Amino acid sequence: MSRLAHAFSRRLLLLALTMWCILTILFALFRLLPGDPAAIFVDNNMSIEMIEHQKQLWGLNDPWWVQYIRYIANMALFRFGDSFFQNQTVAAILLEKITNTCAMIFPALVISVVLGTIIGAFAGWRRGGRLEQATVTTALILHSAPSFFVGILVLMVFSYQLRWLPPGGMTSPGGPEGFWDLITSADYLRHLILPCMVLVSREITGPVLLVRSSMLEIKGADFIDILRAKGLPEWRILVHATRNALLPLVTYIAVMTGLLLQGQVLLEIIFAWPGLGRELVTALADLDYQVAQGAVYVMALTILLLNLVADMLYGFIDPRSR
Amino acid sequence: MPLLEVENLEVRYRTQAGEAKAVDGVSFVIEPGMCLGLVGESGCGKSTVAKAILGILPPAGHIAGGAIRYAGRDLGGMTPRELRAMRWRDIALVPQSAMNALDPVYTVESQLAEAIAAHQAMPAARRRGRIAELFELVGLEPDRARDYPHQFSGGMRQRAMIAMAMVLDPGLIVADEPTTGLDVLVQDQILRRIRDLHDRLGKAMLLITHDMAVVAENSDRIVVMYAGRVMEYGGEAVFRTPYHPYTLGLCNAFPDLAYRARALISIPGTPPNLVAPPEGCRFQARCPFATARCGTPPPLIEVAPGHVVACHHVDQAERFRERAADPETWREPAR
Repeated sequence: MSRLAHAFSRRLLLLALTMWCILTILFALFRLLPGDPAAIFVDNNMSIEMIEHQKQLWGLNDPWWVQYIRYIANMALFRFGDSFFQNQTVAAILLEKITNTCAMIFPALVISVVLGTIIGAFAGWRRGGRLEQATVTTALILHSAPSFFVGILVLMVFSYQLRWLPPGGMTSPGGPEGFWDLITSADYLRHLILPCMVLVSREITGPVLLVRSSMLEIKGADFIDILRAKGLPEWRILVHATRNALLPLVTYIAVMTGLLLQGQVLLEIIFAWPGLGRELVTALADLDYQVAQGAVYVMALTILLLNLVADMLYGFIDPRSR
Repeated sequence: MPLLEVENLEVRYRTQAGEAKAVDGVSFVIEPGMCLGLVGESGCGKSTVAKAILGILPPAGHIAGGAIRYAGRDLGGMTPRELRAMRWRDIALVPQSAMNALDPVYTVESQLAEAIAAHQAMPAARRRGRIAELFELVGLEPDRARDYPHQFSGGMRQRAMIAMAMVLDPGLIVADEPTTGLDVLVQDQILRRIRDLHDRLGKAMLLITHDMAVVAENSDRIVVMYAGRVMEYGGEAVFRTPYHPYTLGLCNAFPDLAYRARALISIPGTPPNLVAPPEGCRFQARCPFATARCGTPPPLIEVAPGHVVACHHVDQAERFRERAADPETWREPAR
């Protein structure tokens, strides 16, 4: 256990170091962007003095290293400042958008992983059957189908033609307020189905193909023969094999979650879902640097944290790496 | 009634080149409490025999003929359910490579417990007791049962596998090259454990090995296999007074037998292609004593009670034995 704690603190230190590098690059990047940040809020009615006063107030006249230290300190404390255009703190905006993104991706993630593992395990176990070939082909097609195409296709069919489901948004106008009320409402579920479906159709392919291939490898292992010779029922042997096949999946899930959490720019635009990806694109288009900077920071941190989680989880499920 | 009867067993593998007859008409009998040694070089089909008996042939292999009977019951005629019920409870395995024979993500104890649970209802506490008892029997510390396989050394894993084979007190233990990949000292310990099971507990065993010395030390009956066929079958006499040239060659290739001080002599050449095996005696191409007659299938000749040889020239065995001791005989590749 102490070895685990040791490994954990090392990884944490490494994470802080990586984060610092990312922040420094971000700092440089936003300062290298053409234009003066002051130009964004300046309008023709402002006097030179007022502009100077405002710059002084925001610390834009301080030497770069003072700005740098202040920036790092603020970022470390999650103080992202205020949005230029929305009358809210960046932190509040990001929190809301991330929550919305999570509300879309987590159901899709759980379905993809659970269903994908089961399908992949069976496909690998029954190698060579027509079912296995069909599974692999379908997975490859789904994996390479662009989500804007699939998204628009399902919108066309289920929303415009059949009129079964709403075309976009998280709720109908005047829907429930508050996060818990929202995600437990039938209205939200109805809005969730289409984007979730599209997301699952793409994300499920990873677990299916990965579990299938590691299953194929494990099927030939000596210990499987022994399990069979022990007279265990077939499903018990399948459990053993799947448990082994899951090892590479754990890392994959963490990376997949990180990527998904960055927001689904295309899906969020197609389904008018107020998530993080859409927010980042909007912020960049509006030159709302504060929001964009905060969003990138949060995304980077999420990826790093999830990788850490993956490493640690691996230690728990694979006794050999403890 | 014999414990295990293998009768005219035929196993084939589908390969790119066609069907390979890995085991071709092998028969032997194991009586209760007896240890039968199955010897032959790599690829002669001895492991395939073990796999066929245990019902774990790979998907490309199938039993094409013959019968395997355990206590009079034909395994081929059993339903999957009956077969599963008798596995490990009646026939257990000490496998070739203990390194990979244990599932790496489960503790050793849970893998032993699983074998018990699959066959009989036993409270967890008694299961643990049984496992601890077996660990003692094979010379492992019972506390180590809750370790994972990777925390065991190769020798410890093989001991754990022996304990696992014993867990249901089976009638027959198949030990398929149980010392592969272990260093010589550990090999010796493992073999001693296995002999113990046989001597002290009276377990019937099928001991599969390429090492004539191991068989000579441990077995009551010996089957010498070559290219999927039985060459010679009998008791001690098989290595004391061998008749078949292949057996002579095999005895030459291992130390510590009849001729102790002599240098080892290997048999030149390689085993034949099993997809299209030669007509007649399978050993003819490598046999230093082969004649034109060897092109026809050799008869099974009982040279002494219970000692059977598949060779045309059993009458010249005396001369063969003399000449086989001379390295020159084996020097030039026959033909």
